[in-house]
Amino acid sequence: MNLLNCLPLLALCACPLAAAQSTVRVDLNGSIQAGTCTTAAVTKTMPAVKASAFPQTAAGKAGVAASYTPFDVALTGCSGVTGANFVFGAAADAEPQQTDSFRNKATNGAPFTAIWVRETAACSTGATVRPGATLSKTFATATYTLPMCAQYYKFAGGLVSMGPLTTTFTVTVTYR
Amino acid sequence: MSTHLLSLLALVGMLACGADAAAQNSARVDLNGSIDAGTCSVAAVSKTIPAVGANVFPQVAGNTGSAPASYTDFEIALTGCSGVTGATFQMGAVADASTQANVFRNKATNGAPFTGYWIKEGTGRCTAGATVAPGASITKNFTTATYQLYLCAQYVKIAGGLVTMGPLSTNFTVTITYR
Repeated sequence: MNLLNCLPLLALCACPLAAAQSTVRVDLNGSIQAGTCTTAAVTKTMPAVKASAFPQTAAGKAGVAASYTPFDVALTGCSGVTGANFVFGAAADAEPQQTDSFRNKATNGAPFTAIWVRETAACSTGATVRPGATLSKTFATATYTLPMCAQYYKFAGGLVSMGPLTTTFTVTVTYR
Repeated sequence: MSTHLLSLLALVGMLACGADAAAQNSARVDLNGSIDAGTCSVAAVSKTIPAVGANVFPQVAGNTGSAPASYTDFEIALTGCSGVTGATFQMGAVADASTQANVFRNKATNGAPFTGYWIKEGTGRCTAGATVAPGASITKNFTTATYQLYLCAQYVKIAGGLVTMGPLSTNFTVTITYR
């Protein structure tokens, strides 16, 4: 009988052992943005050529090998960057009569001339980079060099005669 | 409630036994019990840590490093802690860790690679607090009916590769055992 009495008491003793608990969930969110590179402005003086180097018909159009001028868009210190998009100027930088070339912005510039930019280290080959075009590149190291080449170009409409040539455009680099 | 019900059953059992015994016998009555720790009310925590550029992290695959720009304070705030003298906070589980055991894993889909959350505890927060590893227990004494566990989270680069852009997210459950 005493044993029976004890059993329920033991059961009672076990009950208070459960500890009081509560739980709370913690959520943390955020993001990492692409790193950036250091870029350098590019200024190039292209060799002067004679007007006679261009096609001598009003409708003729061509580049001039003597004006080939390589340049680089050079990025350094690209920490945390896996690639980038380069936007080359804007459509407003184009020659209206030859929209794949950059407009001669010189005052009283040489008529019917523009600057043809290609993606290459040697102007004789390479894809044309139109004003406003986007190039997408993948980086494997912390530096990246985009080789380009510029040359004078005669577009259709008249004959080239003497005068200055100049163009400017902004390359917008978006990193990822 | 369930404890009270068990107590009643036990007493009934004892009375029944006593009725069977002879009249001249004395009956001993034992009553046992205890007071459980009280509990507190606790609120879930949801924090967005400021975005930082990938370039703020070490640019060497094998290196680790954190981002001070991401320091984000938060608290586990307990209120209404009547009858509570303290508690043990278990901060998530080992399964919440990254390949670096003291860093909470980035659980975001396609998350920024080689990143995680470094959580520190104490009023020193992210600059001088103690590291809270996933699954770690922190024991605190309470002197009032409210308690705040001071914490701070920051992004950290773990070894293995370079950090590049992407989301970060982690979540874990804090289990609080009162006393």
